[in-house]
Amino acid sequence: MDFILRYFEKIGLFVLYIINELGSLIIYLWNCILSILRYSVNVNNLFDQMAFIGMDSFYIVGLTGLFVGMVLSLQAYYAARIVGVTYMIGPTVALAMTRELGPVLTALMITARCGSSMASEIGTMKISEQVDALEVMAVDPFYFLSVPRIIASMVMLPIMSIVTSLIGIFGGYVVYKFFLGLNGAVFVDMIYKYIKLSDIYNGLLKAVFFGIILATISTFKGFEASGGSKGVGRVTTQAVVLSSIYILFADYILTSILF
Amino acid sequence: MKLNKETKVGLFTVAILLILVFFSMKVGKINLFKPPTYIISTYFASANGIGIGTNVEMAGIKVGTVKKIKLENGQAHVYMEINSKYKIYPDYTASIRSMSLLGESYISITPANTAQALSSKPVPENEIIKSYKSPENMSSLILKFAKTADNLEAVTKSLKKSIGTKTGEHKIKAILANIAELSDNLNRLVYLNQKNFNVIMTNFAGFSRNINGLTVENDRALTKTIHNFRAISDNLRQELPSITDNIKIVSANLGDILTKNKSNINRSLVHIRKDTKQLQLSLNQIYGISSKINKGRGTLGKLVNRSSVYDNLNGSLKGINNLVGGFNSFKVGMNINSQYLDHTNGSVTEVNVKLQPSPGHYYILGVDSTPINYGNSYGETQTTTYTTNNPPSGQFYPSSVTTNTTQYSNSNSLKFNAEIAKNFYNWTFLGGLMYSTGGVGVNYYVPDTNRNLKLYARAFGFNSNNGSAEAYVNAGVSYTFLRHLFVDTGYDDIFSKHNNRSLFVGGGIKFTDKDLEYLIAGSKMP
Amino acid sequence: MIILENINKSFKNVKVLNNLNISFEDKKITVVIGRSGEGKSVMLKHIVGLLKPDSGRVLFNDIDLNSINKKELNELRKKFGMVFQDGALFDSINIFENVAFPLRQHLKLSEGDVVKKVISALNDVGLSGIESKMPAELSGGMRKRVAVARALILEPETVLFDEPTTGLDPIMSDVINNLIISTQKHFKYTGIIISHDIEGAYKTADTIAMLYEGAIIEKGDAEKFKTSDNPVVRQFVTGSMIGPIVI
Ligand SMILES: Nc1ncnc2c1ncn2[C@@H]1O[C@H](COP(=O)(O)OP(=O)(O)OP(=O)(O)O)[C@@H](O)[C@H]1O
Ligand SMILES: [Mg+2]
Repeated sequence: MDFILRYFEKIGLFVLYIINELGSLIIYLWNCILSILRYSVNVNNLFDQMAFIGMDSFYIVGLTGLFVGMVLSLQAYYAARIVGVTYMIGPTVALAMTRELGPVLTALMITARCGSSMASEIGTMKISEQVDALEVMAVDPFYFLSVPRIIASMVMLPIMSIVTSLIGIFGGYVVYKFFLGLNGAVFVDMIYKYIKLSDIYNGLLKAVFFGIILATISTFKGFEASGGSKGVGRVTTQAVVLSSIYILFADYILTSILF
Repeated sequence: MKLNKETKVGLFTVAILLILVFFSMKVGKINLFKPPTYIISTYFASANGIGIGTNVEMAGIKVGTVKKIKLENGQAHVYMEINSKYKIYPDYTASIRSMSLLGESYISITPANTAQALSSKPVPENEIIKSYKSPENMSSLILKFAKTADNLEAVTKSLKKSIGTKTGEHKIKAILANIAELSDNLNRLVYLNQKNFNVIMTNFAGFSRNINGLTVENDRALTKTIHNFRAISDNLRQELPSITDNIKIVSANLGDILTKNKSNINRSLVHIRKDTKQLQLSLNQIYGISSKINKGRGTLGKLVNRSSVYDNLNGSLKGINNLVGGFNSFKVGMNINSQYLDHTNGSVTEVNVKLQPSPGHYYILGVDSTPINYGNSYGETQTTTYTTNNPPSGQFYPSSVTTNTTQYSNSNSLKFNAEIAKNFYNWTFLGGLMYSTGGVGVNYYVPDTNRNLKLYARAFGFNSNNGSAEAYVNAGVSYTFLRHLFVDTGYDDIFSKHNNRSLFVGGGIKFTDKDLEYLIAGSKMP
Repeated sequence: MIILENINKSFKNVKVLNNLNISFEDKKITVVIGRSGEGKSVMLKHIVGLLKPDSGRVLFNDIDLNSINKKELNELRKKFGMVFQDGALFDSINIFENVAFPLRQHLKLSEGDVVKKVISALNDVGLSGIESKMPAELSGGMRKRVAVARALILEPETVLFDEPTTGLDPIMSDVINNLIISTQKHFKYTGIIISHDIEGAYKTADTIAMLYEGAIIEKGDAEKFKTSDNPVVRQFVTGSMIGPIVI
């Protein structure tokens, strides 16, 4: 009897944990918004973070886009060849990239690259009392640490998503034209024909949300760090895992709302 | 030059955003540097298939787009924005064209004649130019297809009636008697027309060779055709509600027939069994034909397995019996299809039961509803006149028959199929009764299409009384999709001397014994 | 005047501050001594609001830190400087930027003024020529001195030193103690120093207080401590193993 109840207790604890976590996140985000209202934005850190999330991530994001686009093109070819609609490969690649893979892959790559770094950076600052020092120096940690990261991520994710999509489509084109030996002009023409502005902009809107999600979770987790380097490692892992899950979850929700 | 990070971020962001704007403009078809244009307009009876932004082309070159469409007096007034580079002259006409059978529609502007263009002035702004009737497009074809499905329903309904009732039983008996009679006649006919037959068979062999060559040469055209079919099925999906409804009704009717009339069917089958003798006789005749074919041509002979005909026949009948009982040892298929004949606006609808005792060969028994005279044949009533006229025992068969024909009151008349088919790699050769006339046919299954793409040719009408024994040949291509549905198209009466050549488009459904089993016995769907 | 009233603080089940009462006089230096792990750093963090008491009040010039909102607290904190026990330098920016940080955040100074101030502040703690080094490249003692320079650079009204001389050599300790005394004379700030260094305490303190078992057990000037007859204080001051303090 008892041990059955214990399972329920565990489930209950888990649910409470999830709700608690989500609640804390929302409160945290709210605090960040309040901090913007109180102290505006630390422009210096904002640009640092924009450079970090943006240009510094260019290669990793570009490479991801390139290979994904190439693979998409190749895989689409195997399917399209069967029914003889190889001319649809272009739109397939372009739509997949702009609507889905561009934003999501960018968000996941940036989470891995920058989200983890945000969590560990803030985590380290937290456990070595640097966050306390900030506070004592009358500098709001939200203002100094969270807000620039969240805004930078929010702004740069759509930008990087454009990069991913473009390079992905380019990769698809390269495979289409040079590896598969098909007519490149058809690839481009069909893209213009089938892609809509809304495909592009809804994809970018998604990216904005992903940016907010990943930076919010990553910085939030950073502040939760305690107990030395192991604690920092733990929150970093949590930040990446949680961000990725929330991104994929949000992707589903947004896709069902937007498209 | 050393840039600080703000500048770098700014440059990067602006660069990416500029790229975004560039592609947005291309995708959104926004042109900053819009070339000068002028507006002309035209009236169409139907603007079906075109919309704002539809291309306007002249000699295949894009000259503008559709700006707006208004309804005026039941006509579509279509305004087109034409690039000023291109001049449109009075007397030019606009028409709605389709890029392919299914492709997007566009407006084509065609010059009347070149001399005129040079002498007259271009059309000024806001001028109205002429248009002519838009050719038939796919959506109307699909509507027709939906109608065809209605026909199918009607056919099955009448089938239901004919099987379910006492008179129906009699009719079947009569039919079988007629088949026997007919094939007897056929036999004689073939015997008599040995020489003609040889010629026909030679033609036929040549014809199938041609088809073969055609497929090899036109491989690309063929793949394109497949694409089109693919697209047809896509379009069909849109029209699917009505079609599926019809198909649903058809199968519901079938199920209805078969369940409600289970006892009737059983009874009918008892009758059929009683009539086996007659049927045997008829098939014997068909066999006779095939042996003639054998003697006549030699190549088809190998395909007909003489010794096993009787066995197979017995097997088939057992199969029919077992079908009702819910199990079977060999394959039974059924297909219902209908074809629209472009030339005569008529349609051919048939219901065929396919009995396949072995993978190598099968039999087809079926009923057709065809326009009068189709395939040089006459309707059921015509057949009965044979009996009253005492079939000739000698030559000059049957010269006196036509005089006392009572025309069937329906615009379509019922005819019957009873064929033997033999599979040979990707080929199937058929012979027997087609549309109540003697006929032969060949199917070619295009390799690697899972037997979904079929090219076929039929030659029939050998009992024709038009004296010249002119074969009625049709050939086409048929494509099966979604396992149960197929569409086909081709040419009917290809060698017609009366200019009856006609394009036909059609389609239908087919069931296998598994499906029938499901319908009849209510067991699980495969 | 900073007053801690009946402060209780526990971490999990460990009681650290037990009904602590202490007041710090304005413009005077108070040295708090006590054994390691006694709760001195915890007490200091209560003064700047980094930690909230489980019960009791922290009054800063009669303002209850618990009753004010975040923004007001932040305004208040601008009047504080604090040296953390481990320095708490920002390890992602160099020494110069670390020391310049409060200046840049709160004052709008020209770059020239910033440089001047930072260089002189670093000179005061005996560090010059290390401006471009990163905190990780310094020794523990050097880091602590940078922290002292950073805490003093805004010339705050109240400066909290968490063991400013621990880990320094005796000469450097003396330099820091003198620095504290001279800057205090100069800016007249309220100084709260936590220290284990009794001699240094005698030298710098106007008042000495001893924290024992979560509460203040003795408070007074250097003379009072030297002559205290409280056995706990005596044992601590003399640095003897033998006495009432259970090790
Ligand atoms: N964040 C915290 N979580 C849990 N326990 C804590 C925390 N901070 C301090 N403590 C506990 O409170 C007690 C007092 O710690 P504190 O850092 O105030 O000691 P201290 O008097 O400053 O010692 P030292 O002279 O070594 O610096 C210790 O037992 C410590 O374990
Ligand atoms: Mg301490």
